[in-house]
Amino acid sequence: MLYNRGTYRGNSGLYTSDDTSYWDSSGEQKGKQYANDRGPLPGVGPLYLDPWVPNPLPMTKWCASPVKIKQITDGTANTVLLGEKAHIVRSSATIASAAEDARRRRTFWAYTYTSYQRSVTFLQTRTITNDYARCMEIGGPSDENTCKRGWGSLHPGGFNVTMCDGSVQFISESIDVFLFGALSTIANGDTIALQ
Amino acid sequence: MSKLRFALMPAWALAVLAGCGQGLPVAPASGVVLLDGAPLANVSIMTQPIATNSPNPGPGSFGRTNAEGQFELELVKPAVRGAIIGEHRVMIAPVGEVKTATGDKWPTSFSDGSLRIQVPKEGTKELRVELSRRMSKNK
Repeated sequence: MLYNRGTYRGNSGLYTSDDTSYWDSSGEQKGKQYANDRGPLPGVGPLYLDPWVPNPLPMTKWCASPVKIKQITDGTANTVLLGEKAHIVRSSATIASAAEDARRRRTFWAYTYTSYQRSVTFLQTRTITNDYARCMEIGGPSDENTCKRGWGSLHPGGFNVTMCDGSVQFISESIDVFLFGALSTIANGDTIALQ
Repeated sequence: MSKLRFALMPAWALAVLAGCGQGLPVAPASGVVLLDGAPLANVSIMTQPIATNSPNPGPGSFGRTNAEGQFELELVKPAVRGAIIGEHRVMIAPVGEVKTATGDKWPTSFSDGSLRIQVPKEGTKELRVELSRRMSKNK
């Protein structure tokens, strides 16, 4: 069967070594203490461990609420809503599964599970590369999760994002990822703007 | 506009650019990671140049320590040896799911970007990332 692939995803937030959350399912939104690191589109509603099997959990469990616009205290112009996620599919001399992984991990809107609709920003440069095999070869903290949940596009030099105020910005692959991380959170106290 | 400029560039200039990180200010950078003064083997190093004048200081670099704690940085993209000249945040993390002997969590302060290195214009082989168990008590 052939499916159409998407090229952009919702921003579920910032991954840090403190909160260790991808924010892409309700179950990820455990403690309230780091909720400010969420993006505007974290996983909400009942947690489905696997959408193809009946949900073993009660519907009320892990039922996080959508982010309200008043919770975006970093400013809607300074918070990423959607961003491009498309990457090159190629094989790798060192990782046998790289091409197959890259193919499987493209954006897919019909599948709400984990990262197919959402990305999260990691504080690693490889999270904003459009070369999936390169991301895997580099490796490092969070392994391939940094590649699955990253950002990128097939046009040169970077990718586009839509901010929560509706404006569109081009993000360079040369951006300081800590700055991009600050643009990924709704309420981290960082009112950093790109210009 | 940039396409036009590219077309007017002589072939030798393109060759030079391709050879040194597409015109990025990159210098060779290698060194050692120490934990309480002893070499720290098989850890991942990630660096990110810090935005100062521009939000786009250039891509980060990565490396891995050998048995002697030594590492050499390579740019994430394009794949060339070295790192962007200037100040970087440094993140040190275990490779894969490694637990310390005492079962401690990997210290947040080793990988939250609070560590810094400086890559000089002429490059360096003398980078030192010094970690201590004392600073790991912070979190």
